[in-house]
Amino acid sequence: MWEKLKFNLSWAVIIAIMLLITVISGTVTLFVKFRTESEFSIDPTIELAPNQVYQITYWDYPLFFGLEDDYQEFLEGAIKEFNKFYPNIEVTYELLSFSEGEAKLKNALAEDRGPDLYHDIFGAKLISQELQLPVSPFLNLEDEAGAKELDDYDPLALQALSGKEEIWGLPTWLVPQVWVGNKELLAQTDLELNKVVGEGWSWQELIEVSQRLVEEDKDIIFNPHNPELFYQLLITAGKGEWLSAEGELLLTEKDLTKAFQFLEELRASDAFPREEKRMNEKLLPYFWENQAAIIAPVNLWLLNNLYQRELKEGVELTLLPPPSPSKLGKESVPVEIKSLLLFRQEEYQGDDHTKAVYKFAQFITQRKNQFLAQKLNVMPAYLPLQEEWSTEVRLKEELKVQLLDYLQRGTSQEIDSFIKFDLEKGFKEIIEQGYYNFWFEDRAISEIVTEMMVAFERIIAESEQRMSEN
Amino acid sequence: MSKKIIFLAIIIMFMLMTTSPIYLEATVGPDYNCLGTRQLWLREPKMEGYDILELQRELKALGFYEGELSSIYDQTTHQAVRRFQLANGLPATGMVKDQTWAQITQVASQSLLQTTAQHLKEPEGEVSLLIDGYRKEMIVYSDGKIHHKFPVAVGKSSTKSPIGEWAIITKDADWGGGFGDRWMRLNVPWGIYGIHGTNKPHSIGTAASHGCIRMFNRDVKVLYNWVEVGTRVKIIGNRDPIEITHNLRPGQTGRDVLLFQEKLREHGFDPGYTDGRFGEGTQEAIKDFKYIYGLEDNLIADDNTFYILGIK
Repeated sequence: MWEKLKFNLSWAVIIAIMLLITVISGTVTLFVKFRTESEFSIDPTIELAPNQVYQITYWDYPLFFGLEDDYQEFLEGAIKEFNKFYPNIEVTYELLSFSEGEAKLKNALAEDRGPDLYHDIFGAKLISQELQLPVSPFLNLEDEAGAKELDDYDPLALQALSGKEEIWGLPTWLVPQVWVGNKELLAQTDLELNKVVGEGWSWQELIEVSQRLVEEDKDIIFNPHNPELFYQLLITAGKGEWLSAEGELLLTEKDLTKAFQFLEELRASDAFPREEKRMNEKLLPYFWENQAAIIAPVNLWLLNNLYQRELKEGVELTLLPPPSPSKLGKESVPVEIKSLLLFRQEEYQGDDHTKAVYKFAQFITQRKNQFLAQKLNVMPAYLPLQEEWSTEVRLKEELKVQLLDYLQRGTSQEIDSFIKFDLEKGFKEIIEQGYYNFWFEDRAISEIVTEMMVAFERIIAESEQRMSEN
Repeated sequence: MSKKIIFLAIIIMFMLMTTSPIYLEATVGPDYNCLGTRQLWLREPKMEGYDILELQRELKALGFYEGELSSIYDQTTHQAVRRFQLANGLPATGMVKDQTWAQITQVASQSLLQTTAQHLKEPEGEVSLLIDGYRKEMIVYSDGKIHHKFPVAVGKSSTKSPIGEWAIITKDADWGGGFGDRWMRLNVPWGIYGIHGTNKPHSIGTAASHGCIRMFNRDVKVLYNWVEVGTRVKIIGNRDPIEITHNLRPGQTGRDVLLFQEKLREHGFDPGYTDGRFGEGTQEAIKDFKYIYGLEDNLIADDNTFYILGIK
């Protein structure tokens, strides 16, 4: 039979068999590779090898600008202290330029020379689908008593870093988004400040306040170069999420028009200074000269500068929540989350290396964060620190109460997926342009909004096309 | 038509030239020169000034003048000058010109106990200088470590030395004249300041100059060989208050820019050297500054900037 078979094998059959083998082996290889990639997982229970030296890199920013302490000194002290617990984890740090840090990180990751750990003070959250590592395996690990580290972090902060069943960063601080008011000037407008602080206020209420300010020849200053204000208006209007899980646009023409119309109404009531296009130049001079009753947006760093200066200027600050289109009850306040993000290298260095990185991140958020959070007047995300922060932070009692109140009513958005997050970043650029056009181009709102909607749709279509091609 | 085009082109070129930082830098003339000098003699009304005070101090130290340090060129000073000139083989005119100053320097230098600077070991690392206006001394660093200290004279209270971080931009070995040996000019944008020897050695250790840094002639010769064009020179000490009256932009120079740079650094931003020039380092710093505080994305230091930095 063997002889018969040998005889019947033609060249065509041999080639066919060889082709079949090639196809099968290729398929198996691809499958194994795909399986490995898609099921990349970290074993959080892995132990660090006591005799191995783990070299990890940490990228941060020089956060104590405008303050007396030296951040570099703080960081070196923290690393030294960390090494008492983990002498075999060597931490090399780099302090980045504020304006160029994010770009540097992206470039470094693209060239596979990124850090193991990055302090995301700008709230970028998701940076690299290929190389960013979730921290949820460690946070979900149960100790002997069945407790999870996850429960030690503020749920609002965790929510802001959650997407596709993973948590993509170890939260450091919570920062409520506030506007800053001149208490004395606002008192002249009959605004019930306590009510505004306790429950929020509506766009209409702000317009009424602005009219009374105009009577007193006082102003409101919005920085037309900073679109954060527009994002805040969208969030308070319940439009913090711009895309559905299915990738459908949730932001409508009506939402954008409404927010712009609110700004237009303020503009029409002469709420802003005469040279409106240059009002950003008057942001601080007018505020400290008792000319501007409200300034916005004010980020964490500017806010800290205002806190410091309040002591010598004699102008009393109050923190206001961004208003909502219509007040229905206790209005929520947008909260920004800062975090530590973990990255791997293209050639994965192993779960023990990742664990070493996580241990340092954990040390910063838990052991060193109280000092940082008190210094920067931001609420630590690690729950066991929050009570101490509330009593120890050197903020005026009234401002502290306001911050705590806003955090209780805080709201944050889940990040969903990398794809969606990327699309939303594209949306931000469009909104930024629209916001700029509103202030500087003297164009009709309808025209600006239509242009924005077309741009949103184009981005979505392009993304869908890319996905179908892949 | 073509004439119009040529005219327009000239206008545009002129505008570009006059607004370019290079042109601005070149045309911002120094508003001060620390090397001013004059001839001294007895006349009516009597001459007065700090140079006369220094002359009296030197002659007193040499035993030729016994009067008060009055800063007035009176009969007693005139006689003291004549005695000095006679004793040193100079025509006894009672008039102080370069030749008399040079002779005073020489005699005073011989009478002073000075460092044997010429035997000092040359620094092997990168040299930088710190001039401490409070202590009236210059510290020479080699790779950041103290190599040697020299006594100096700094600017008097009405003409203070320029506080800041400078660099040596020219060196002149044959400079001499009536001022003392050697000349190393600093890149101070608002005047001509430098380090030089002196014909008034008794002023060393005091605040006596027009803003320049004076050294003993022997010391300055040694220092001259240690430094190069580009060597960094930091001057600390008292200075007059600086006011910022307008927005600051890239390319500008001046004391206001220097103050702005210092404040940026105090607040944790790195403008490079605080040299009164709104250059690349300062631009990087203001870029970072505006970014982190969420202000308009430009390189202009405006009122918001000044409020945050506590300048206003």
